[in-house]
Amino acid sequence: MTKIIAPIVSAIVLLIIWEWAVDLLNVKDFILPAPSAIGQALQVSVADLAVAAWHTLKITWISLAVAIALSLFLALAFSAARILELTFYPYAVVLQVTPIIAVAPLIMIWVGLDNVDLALVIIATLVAFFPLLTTLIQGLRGIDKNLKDLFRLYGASRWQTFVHLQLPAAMPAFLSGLKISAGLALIGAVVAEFVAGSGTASGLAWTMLEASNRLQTAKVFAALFVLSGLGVIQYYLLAWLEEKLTGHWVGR
Amino acid sequence: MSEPLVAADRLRIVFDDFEAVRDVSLSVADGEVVTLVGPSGCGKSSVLRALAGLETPAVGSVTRRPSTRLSFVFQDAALLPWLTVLGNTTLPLRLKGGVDEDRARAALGRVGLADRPNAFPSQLSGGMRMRVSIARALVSQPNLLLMDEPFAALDELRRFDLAKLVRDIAQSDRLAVIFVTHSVFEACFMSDRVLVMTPGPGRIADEIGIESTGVRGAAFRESSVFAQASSAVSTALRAVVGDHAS
Repeated sequence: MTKIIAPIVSAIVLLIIWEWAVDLLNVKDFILPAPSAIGQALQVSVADLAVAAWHTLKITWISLAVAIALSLFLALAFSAARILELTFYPYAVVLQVTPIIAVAPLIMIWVGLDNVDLALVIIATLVAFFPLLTTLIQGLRGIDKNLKDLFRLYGASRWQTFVHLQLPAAMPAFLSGLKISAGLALIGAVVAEFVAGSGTASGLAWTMLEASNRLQTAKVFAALFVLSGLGVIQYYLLAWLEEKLTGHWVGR
Repeated sequence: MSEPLVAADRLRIVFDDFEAVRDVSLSVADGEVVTLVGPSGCGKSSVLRALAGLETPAVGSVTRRPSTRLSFVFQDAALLPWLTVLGNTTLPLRLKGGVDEDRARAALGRVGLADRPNAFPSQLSGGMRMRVSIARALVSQPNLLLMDEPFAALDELRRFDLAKLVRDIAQSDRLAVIFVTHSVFEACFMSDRVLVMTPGPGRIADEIGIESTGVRGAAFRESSVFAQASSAVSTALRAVVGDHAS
């Protein structure tokens, strides 16, 4: 119970202090709006924000789906042939360590001029894909040797081994990678929207850009609030899914 | 004597440049329970894996009669944690394309787990998990069961119960069992024959036969046959380990 109440109480206290400080120090609205002003902005632009959030979420989830497919394909190829892993894994590392914000303008030039959404998906996918790849590789590599021998003794085909052993065995690693990657896909989508700039994209980041250009700081905060709210909900949904799918088989 | 069910002829097993097993020959007849004992790292598991075809010997050969139906039980129960007890037990059948739940339930009944078909492995004790593993081995109706130190992680009472369970099943089904252990008690209680191996490279140093009639149980444990066999196996083990034994 304390686990839920403690953060709620601290949040309420923080908001009260914030409200009171803004009022007392007479801070201008466009510099730091009071929580009540942010609440109002949230209320006024709820329709705009919902549309924008939906757009950002769509990009996030499409990117996540592409990242899942891509990492699954690569992880399986790597586990099937070590030479493929030795050859291509370094490229994945290079992609991972290169700041996406530095690559994003190039992608915007190559595909973004004709198709912004495609560019957004590519950028968000690049950000999301690496944790999935590494956790999947680990999951596939960590399969109990006895279980592999067991499947050999049963004369299981490659396909049967894949469906009945490899895929389920990699599930916990995959799900923990997914929690990280889903958050990163959201960040990637937002970064990509920022790079794309106003006028072309229509997600939450664009809403924030536009509002800040007009010094509607309360609306910036409102969009920010929605954005982090989405991230948190997404994380806990996936944590719940993880518990649901693999909770009963931990501690083998 | 009739043709053996499985035979190994002058096996030599090498890992990289480490010779694990040298010149091991053995043969096992239908319904016979044979135990390989020896100090840790003497290559007894490697011999067992070679008999199953999981290890390829550098020299020598393994011959199994074509009618051999082989099952293997690993040291840890090697259950799939995402499947229930019943799911794990039916796995061999499912991979062969024909799930027969009744057969799986019957196998679970034989190991005393008829009432827990829907439990997950994480909800079971170590002894129960090993029982599931044995049920899974039995479900394909084998005539040769290979067991690699299956009870090593269990406490004394469970060891006895499971050793008796396997011995009883072997006897009633005419199931040949090749059993790897470093427990003198398990070896003597379960086996018709005990093969004592030397430490690396593993060779068979001694063979001790244990004659008995009827079902083995608590009475057999207190019999003079059992006492003599235990003493003979212990002596042989001390001889192969040499001065390191104390």
